[in-house]
Amino acid sequence: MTRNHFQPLRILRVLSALLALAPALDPSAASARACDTVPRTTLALYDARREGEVRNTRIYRFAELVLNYLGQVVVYHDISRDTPPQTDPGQVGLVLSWFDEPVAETAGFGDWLARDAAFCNGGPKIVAFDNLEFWTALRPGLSSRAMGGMGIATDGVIHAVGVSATVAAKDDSLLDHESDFLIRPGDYRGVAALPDARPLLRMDAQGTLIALAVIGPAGGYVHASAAIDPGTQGRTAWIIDPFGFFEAVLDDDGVPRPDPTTFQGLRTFFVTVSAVGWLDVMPAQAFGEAQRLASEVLAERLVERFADLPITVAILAGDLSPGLGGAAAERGRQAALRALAAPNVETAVQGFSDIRDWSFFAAYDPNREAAMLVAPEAADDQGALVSSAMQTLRDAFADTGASTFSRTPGAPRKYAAAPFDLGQEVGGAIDGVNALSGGERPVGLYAWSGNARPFEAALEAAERTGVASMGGGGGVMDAARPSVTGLWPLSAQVGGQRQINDALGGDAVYTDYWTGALYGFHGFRETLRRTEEPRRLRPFHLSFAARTMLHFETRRAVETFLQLARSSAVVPIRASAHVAAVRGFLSARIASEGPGLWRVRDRGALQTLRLDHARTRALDMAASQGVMGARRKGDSLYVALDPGAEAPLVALADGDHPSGIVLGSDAPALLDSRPVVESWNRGTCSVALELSGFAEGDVVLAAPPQAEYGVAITGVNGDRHRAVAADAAGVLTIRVPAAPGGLRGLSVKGGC
Amino acid sequence: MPDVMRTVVLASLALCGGAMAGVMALRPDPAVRLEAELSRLEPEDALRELRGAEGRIAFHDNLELLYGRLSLADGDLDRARRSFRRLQAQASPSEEVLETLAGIEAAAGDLAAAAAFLRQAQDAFPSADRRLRLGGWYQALRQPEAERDLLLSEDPTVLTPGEIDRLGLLLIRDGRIADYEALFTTLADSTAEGHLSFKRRLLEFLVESGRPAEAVAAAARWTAGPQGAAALEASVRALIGRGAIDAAILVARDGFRLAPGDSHVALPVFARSGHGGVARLLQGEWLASRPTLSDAEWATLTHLAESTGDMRGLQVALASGGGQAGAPALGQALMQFVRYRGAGALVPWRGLLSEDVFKEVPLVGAAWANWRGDRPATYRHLVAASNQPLSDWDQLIWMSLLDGLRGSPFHRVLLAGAVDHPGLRQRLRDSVIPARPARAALSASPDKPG
Repeated sequence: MTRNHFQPLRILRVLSALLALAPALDPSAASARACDTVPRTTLALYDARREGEVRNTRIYRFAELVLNYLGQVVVYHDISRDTPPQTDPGQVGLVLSWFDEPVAETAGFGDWLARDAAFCNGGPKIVAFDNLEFWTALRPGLSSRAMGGMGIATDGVIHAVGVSATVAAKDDSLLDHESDFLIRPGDYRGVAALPDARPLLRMDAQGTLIALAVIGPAGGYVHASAAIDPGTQGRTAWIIDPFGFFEAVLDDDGVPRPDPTTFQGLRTFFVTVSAVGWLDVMPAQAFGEAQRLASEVLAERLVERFADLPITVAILAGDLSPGLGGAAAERGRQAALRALAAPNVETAVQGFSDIRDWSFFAAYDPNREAAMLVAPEAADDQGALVSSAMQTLRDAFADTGASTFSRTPGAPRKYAAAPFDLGQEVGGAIDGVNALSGGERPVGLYAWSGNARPFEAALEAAERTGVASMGGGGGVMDAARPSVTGLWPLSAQVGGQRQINDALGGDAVYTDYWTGALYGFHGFRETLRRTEEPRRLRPFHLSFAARTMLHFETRRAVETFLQLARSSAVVPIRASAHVAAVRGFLSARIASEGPGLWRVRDRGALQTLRLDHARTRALDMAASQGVMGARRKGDSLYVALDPGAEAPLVALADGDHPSGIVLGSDAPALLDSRPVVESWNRGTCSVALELSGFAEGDVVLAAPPQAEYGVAITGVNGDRHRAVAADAAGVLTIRVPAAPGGLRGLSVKGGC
Repeated sequence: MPDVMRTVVLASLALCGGAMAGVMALRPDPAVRLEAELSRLEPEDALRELRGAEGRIAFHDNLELLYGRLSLADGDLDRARRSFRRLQAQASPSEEVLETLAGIEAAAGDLAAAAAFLRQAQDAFPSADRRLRLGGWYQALRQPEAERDLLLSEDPTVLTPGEIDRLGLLLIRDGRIADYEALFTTLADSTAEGHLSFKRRLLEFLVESGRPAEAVAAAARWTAGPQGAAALEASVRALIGRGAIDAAILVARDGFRLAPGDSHVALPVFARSGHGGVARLLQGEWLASRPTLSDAEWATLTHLAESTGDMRGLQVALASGGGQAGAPALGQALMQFVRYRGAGALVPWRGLLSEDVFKEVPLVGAAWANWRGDRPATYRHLVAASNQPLSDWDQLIWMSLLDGLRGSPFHRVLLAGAVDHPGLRQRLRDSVIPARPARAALSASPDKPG
């Protein structure tokens, strides 16, 4: 029997659902509403037929990191499908192409670009690196608009450039950035800079001027020879200054940029330990001495000795199964229990079977895997001299139980006793490790193993678990590899999913996967320095494998960097907090609410906005809402957002005070804090905070010079405020004890 | 007796003294003893012992090396640097010491100092791997002169293509054009990997420098050498690419003389680059010098005819040596006549037509049978042709030949599905379905509701 009552509430619900869907059905309607937000999307065009997937593209490899730094979220569109991009035009601030060959299909994209009314601010900026034919092949009106935006015109002629060509003009402020521009003989398309454009580089080839880099009124163009130096060893370097170039094109310096590297004014610090080598055995020094597992050394010598720092430790679920991990599995399990019991440890999972090649499992064929495993790859030494590198490799793949690597080093995963099961690899592994601690230490992070190039379904599976996932990317920027091209973007678009990358590379890349000089990991300090100055490009992410504990060199390097973290101006956080901050970077929307007024929405766990070129700008605390304070670094101003504020309002004023803050009252504001600020309540004369952390640290406040306050810290002096005074520069530093899992209240009352 | 006693005592003392001296002499050196002790210790403990012993005992080379290594492992770069520098000063150049000093400086962030040590290592113990690394470091240091000199110090034929490319750019940057020319002359004259691209670059340079005659001479030299055909083709392409058509023609003519069996490769280069007239001219000259043609030469001629529609070359070749051509080459050559001029154009060549030719290129057989009105043979050859790959053009020819079978049982059989070729099946279906939309047939009586 069916009932057919009139249900006004239900109808209203349906109507409201339809209204909510309307923007999706009509993106132009959505964009009309979205125009009040800053367009933070860069639409990156790529040709999947030539480049395969997004992670292979030059935009991803070179440009995305720079655009991320400038606050842009890069969304990729495969032009070979010739369908319109599924991106809301109102959110697109920049369209970027980096083709090396002509692309025939332009109609779908052309239809999208022709929707003038759907765009904001007169349409997106357009930048072309390398091949221009995609843009010249657009329908005439669109093509001329795009080329005009880039500030260029082509003569349709291919000019021969030889050794007699000369540099006619070069803007030294934006060229010869990491590598010098060198004239490369070859065939060049005739490109000229338009009168309203800013030519950056021009070459004179037998009387013909050819523009190689131009900033136009609404975009820019960079010829391949002025973009990236390929390097003789594949160590690429930027020829044009990508920060300066994209900054000039985007022309949005006044807009604050979401920055996931920084919490509360300080660079974040986190540690990830991968499960690689968990069961590896540390050779005994003397006969009869007990051999120890790398994981046992990790738990004892690192996790417990550095209890004042957060460490995210990944477990490979298969390692702990006696049927797979073999005789060492039980000891590995005990080591895991010991490590996870430490309050400073965040539990992570690195899957079940140690996937080395994720692409193999994207279209999994168990028979193919079985065939690979049947054919042995491991060559017999036959008495040959074994180099130390080979010895090290062999140690790395030591036979631990059912490991496939002892027989087939190129196997796509370590444990192949059962056919690959994505559910077991992700959700199952998380459940298994949760069960290990009886639910006491729930998994906070899923770490991508092996080549860390998960396919879309794997990312979806991780997303469904509700556990943050991270892996891949990273990068190096040290003395021998000083280019920013050695770093990877914050995230990778994989189909409809986002993979959050590691922030920096770890021990493996500094030791050539333990086949090179192991002391090389000490060079990580250089990467830390170069990713902090002149720009804070990356958090302080220390990552290493469990097997690094086996080697004196790498173990000491890790200890040295943990010591460095103790003494550095950083905010120690768990790795999952960094993932959440990057997610917040991706989702954040910034809207202008008047001159110098910026409202931030949908920021999730993102805690910082950064304003560049802001030596004469300051945070106006009185006019702001949901902000804690600010801190200057170089000519940038890092604005710390109140973690509890849903939609903070950042108000900026003129001012060059060293603190970067216009207080507006006697109540202090935050300059920086090593403990994590969990809540923030600033009144007219006072401020109250709740703090968490792993060890004591300083909370540094900005106040009127010499101002006197009463400070109370829960668990130290309770409600009895002790008198403190800001120094002559208006800085008030309060040391606050902290321990994992606890909250500490801090009250600072003013004299008014 | 006392004398005897004294003698015994003295002898005993002497013996004891000798034994003591022996013991003293055999007692290990403290440094050696320390080294033996260290080998039993964990690295941390060994390093602590070494630090404690520093200044108390003199470290010999082995101990200093161990101290340096352990200090480096510990991340104490200053102490490690001191040890390895001491070793460097005390002993003859050691690859390990120099490499490690370079590694220490790189880890410390001083790449310039690191490169200085690596350069010493490279000078004393040259290796390609180290040279590549050092070149990369110079590049990172923005020291183009040092990078250039490093690369110039090496035999260019052992440089990697990337290094050669880089060296060329650095020489242009410095205006050392003579060195640039010398570099690419050496490489172009070699058979090193990528030599064709070096040939191209040298020719481009010579043309740009207004020395086309030298370009022609160089190309002739390569054409007469090993891999002459590839060199000839690359040379002609390079010269045409730089607009030096006259030089390219001269190179092609040299090729006819110097590499008669391979020189046909130059002809399609002219045709493809829009110089069809030159291609035809040269084709005539080339054919005049070739009494018989190889399969490759027939293929070139056929390709030229197909791409230009000019049958004159094929006509000459067929007239002079067609009978000596193999069936596949002959079939493809005759197919060009069918394509451009129809089956009737086969009549002058009927003496060359054979079942062997038809077997290789059944469409020629079908065209000839159709011309003669031989329907069974037309059908047979059409079925055979349908089992071969057919371009769109050939499918259209196939369909036109099918018209000759209309009204016959062969036509019905083919329509009934005797052909598996998907393109032809579609065309056969389309040939019996009215082309105009069904609605158009009803245009005189528009739809009426109800």
